[in-house]
Amino acid sequence: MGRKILLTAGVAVTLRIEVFGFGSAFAKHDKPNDIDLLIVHSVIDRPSCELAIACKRWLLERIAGADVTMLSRSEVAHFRFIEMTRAFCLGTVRKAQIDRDLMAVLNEVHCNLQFDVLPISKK
Amino acid sequence: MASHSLGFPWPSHYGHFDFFERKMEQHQKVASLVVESGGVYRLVRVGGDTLRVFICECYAFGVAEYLETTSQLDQLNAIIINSAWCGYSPEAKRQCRDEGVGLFRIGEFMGALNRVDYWAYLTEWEEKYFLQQGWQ
Repeated sequence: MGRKILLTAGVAVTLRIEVFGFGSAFAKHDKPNDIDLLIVHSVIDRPSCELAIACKRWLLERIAGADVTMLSRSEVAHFRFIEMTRAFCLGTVRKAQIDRDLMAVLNEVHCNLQFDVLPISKK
Repeated sequence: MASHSLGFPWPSHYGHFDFFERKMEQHQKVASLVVESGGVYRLVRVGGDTLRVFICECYAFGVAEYLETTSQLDQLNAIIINSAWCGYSPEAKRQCRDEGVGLFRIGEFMGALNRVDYWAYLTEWEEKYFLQQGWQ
């Protein structure tokens, strides 16, 4: 399959999203209700949103109790979401190698969880 | 905070949308409100038009959430963010408005219901912001 390429001002940019973790499941002092994840996509056009949605579904299928929010970079800035929630980056997912990158994110989620009460399913 | 997980649409944190239903019952422009399923209602306004309304609880409702919602639930006339600590982005508001879909918190929806073009209702802050962005 060919790689999807966006051309911005003459520079080729692969379509990608970033996954962040935040909330009680990643904090030592709280009892977790769920595993909060944030997907940050580049812009609000359809390809960018569709990649975010695909990644969200992938994560929901594999992480029990996951709660995934999707926002573009500008939307994240509007909400000051990362500052307010103290979210931290778990990894970048490139559309060209979505499964491999998401597996790496899944591993990071597992490594950073402070509690082991919410099982991660290995699909 | 409200949570949603494997299911779609996002279920109510409290298992119901009583507050929304009560507010709609009290509204002079609402003739009837019928539950469809999973946070979707059919709201008939005095005057006869029917709005398909989706109410949800999520941390932050953005454009991608909107696309996902409409892909799952088909055509909606209004989307209501139920929780006081949750919100929607200006970009999502703009996209919804441009497609004739209202995106509101409950209080805003109460005001918008008085307008024929309910989807175009903006808060004072949004009016200024949209103007600044050249979105009018």
